[in-house]
Amino acid sequence: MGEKPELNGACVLVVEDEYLVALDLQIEIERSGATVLGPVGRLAAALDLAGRATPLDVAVLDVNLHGENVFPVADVLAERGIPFVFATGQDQESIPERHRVAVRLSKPIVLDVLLRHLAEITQARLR
Amino acid sequence: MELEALNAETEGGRVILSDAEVPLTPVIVRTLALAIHELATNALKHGALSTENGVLQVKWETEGNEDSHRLRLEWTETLDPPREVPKAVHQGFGRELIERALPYQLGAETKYQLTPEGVRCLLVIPLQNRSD
Repeated sequence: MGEKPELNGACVLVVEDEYLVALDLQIEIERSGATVLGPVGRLAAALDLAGRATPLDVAVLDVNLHGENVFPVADVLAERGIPFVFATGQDQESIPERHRVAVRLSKPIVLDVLLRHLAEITQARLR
Repeated sequence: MELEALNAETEGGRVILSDAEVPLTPVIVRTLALAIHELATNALKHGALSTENGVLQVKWETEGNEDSHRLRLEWTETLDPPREVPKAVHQGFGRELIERALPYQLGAETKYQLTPEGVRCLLVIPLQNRSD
């Protein structure tokens, strides 16, 4: 298991449509020292935050939001140069090719793994 | 029916229910069932169904048009006699579920009030997939 990853005040956007999962993500990410934006569960709200939230260091994106794909949010983030990880129950094929470089975590999410990825990504950005 | 599962005395006109049939999606059923369970448990333990003469009315209907179709559910408890609302009410899981989870999960508008007459709760739940 090792030590808890440190997120050192990073701002993390959480997009997840299941309330309890979202709450869980929020609590754990905040415990690691980050600030959570959201969580939001609707595409429109996610697009809004992804487009204008500053500062924003990294995002966790649930792929399926009440039947809508989260990829427009990924597009907005990519355009702003903000990294993100996908959380999905689907396989790699479900991710559009342009976003396949992003980390894809299978649901149910293992929080330690997610936090480690977030720590790596935010630390790489600080360097 | 949830109240029967909780061993409530549903005879004697103390529980008044609508009879409208409203088709619901599994996602709505899952979250709404939790909310109803919490409300019912609370009514039995502390609310209208915990006293001799209390009455619980649950009214539901659909409203709106083709574009926006909603389930409107009103949960009204009537305590007899009324009693003072405790000052420091514990914000339980039921209330959090209604005030936070339902809006988040279902895009619902909800109102939860504790009055001297008992719990008043209004749930307005969109029945179609919102595409906003």
